[in-house]
Amino acid sequence: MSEQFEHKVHDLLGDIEFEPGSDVWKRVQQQIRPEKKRRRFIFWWLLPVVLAGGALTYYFTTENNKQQSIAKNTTSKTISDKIETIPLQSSSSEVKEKTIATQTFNNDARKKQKTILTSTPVYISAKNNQLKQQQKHSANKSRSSFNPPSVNANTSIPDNDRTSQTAAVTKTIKDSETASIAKQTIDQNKEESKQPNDNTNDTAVVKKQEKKKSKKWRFGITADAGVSNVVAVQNNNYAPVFNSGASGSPLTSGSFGPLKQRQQTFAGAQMGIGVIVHRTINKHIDLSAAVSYRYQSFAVKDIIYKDSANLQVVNYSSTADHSLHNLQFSLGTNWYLLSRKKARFGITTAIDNMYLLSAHENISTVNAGNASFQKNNLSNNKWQPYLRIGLTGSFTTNQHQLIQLSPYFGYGLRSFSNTNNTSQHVWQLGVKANWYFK
Amino acid sequence: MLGVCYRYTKSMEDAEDVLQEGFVRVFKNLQSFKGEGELGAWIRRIMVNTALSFLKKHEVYRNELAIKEEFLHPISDSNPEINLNSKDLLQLVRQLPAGYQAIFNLYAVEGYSHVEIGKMLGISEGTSRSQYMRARNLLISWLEKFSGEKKKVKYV
Repeated sequence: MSEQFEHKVHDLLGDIEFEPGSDVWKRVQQQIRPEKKRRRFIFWWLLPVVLAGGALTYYFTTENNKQQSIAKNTTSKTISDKIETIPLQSSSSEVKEKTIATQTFNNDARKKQKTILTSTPVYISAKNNQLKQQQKHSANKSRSSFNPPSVNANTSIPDNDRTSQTAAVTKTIKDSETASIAKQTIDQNKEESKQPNDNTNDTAVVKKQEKKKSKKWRFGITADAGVSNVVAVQNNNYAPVFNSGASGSPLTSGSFGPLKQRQQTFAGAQMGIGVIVHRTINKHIDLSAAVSYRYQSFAVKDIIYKDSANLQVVNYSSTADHSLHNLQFSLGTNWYLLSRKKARFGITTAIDNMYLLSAHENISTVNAGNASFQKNNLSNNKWQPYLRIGLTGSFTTNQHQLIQLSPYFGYGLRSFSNTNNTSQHVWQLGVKANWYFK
Repeated sequence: MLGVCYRYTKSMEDAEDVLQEGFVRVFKNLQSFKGEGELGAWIRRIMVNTALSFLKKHEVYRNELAIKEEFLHPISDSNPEINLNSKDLLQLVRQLPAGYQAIFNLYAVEGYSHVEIGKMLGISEGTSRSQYMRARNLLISWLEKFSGEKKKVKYV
């Protein structure tokens, strides 16, 4: 196929040019500019996030290091305890030296032999404090009369050199201890390295066990506290108009026309305590179920007044303190978004169903002609659903203990009156703590 | 560059959209231009790729761009005279179905091989070749109609 046609087309269309509208360049500019802004925005928000993340990482890393060093120290101590038995198997000259040293200090034998490892003037590190005190004492009395009981008879130390020698000897003791421990550790490592398969198997078994443990049921107690309130539902509604009474008592409209009712609510305390069971589903999700007793209180002020164009006079008001006693059953789930070795943070949600055991209404203040106190025991036992949502932090203190702290907000429909069967909206705000100890 | 974009689209608005998107890509990826070859050619390549993405993205073009594998490959040796100016020829090319239009532009104007076109459009080299031949024959028939001539098309 000849390409003449293609060449002609290329010549004609290859360099054809059009002038774009000015809008195009403006739009290009707009599309390029926002990205710079977005980058800056992301940067400034990233900085505190990175700092916070870094601080948390540093905190938990330091915690881990501390625990590791404690574990190492425990191991070292064990090794050094083992070393105590070694001198018994060593040569006779060494035994002699140790015996001399032991006799010199008149200490209770082998427990303190680990510090006796030098051939010339030997000090037991455990006696260092005693030595220092004696030095101080003799210095006060007479610097030349000091004769330390810990010094070997063949090598008495002049007073002036005593302090420096003490330090030197202590250092020597430490060095020799360190060397011995290092040797032991190396030997131990050699032995361990001879059995790599066993170790691998051990690690796998330990991992399996840890996994099993992490999926175990946990039992514990749960407690929470906070504030709660009922949402006013009768604002500016007309109160039932009572038959007009000649007496003109506060609750009757009499000849003054219909009355209006207004409610004010006041938040009260709420708390709960119970038992909880918990199961980890995976790294991010766990479930819990709890049964607990819940106390809840709030106050409602009813104000009944005349709606007069000329004058609004409060005719009647009463404040009633409500206290509710419930048996609460709840099913909850925690969704962890941020996990660290010892702590996890996320969102908690729960569905509660409360069985109202009893409710008390105590009319504490009455601002009307009839000022008597009333106490009504309300009972309207029924199941009442409740929803809770909040943030949660879960902290593992050791293998068995787990503490969860969750600030939450709850909302539900409640019916707590035997005279008025309609449900009312109740909210809660509080902090919940779960302690799992098994 | 608007001319490049215009060759692949059916309207000036679409061509300007491609140009805009293409230049945004140019500015975003300017640091990746290593100075090998001409800057103009590099920008032109980005425009062509942007145009092809635009065709794949928009339904109007996407349906026409769906290229079927065909077993009969038309051939033509005709190299007719083109007695049109560039803008009239461009209008004829833009009358081709979007798939033909893209392949014709890529091969005849941009100078890509059928292997390269196949990779760019996700089709085989043979399909690119046959589609190009169909586009070419269609365009030639229009040109001949334009100049009052007609020639037969052979199939193998």
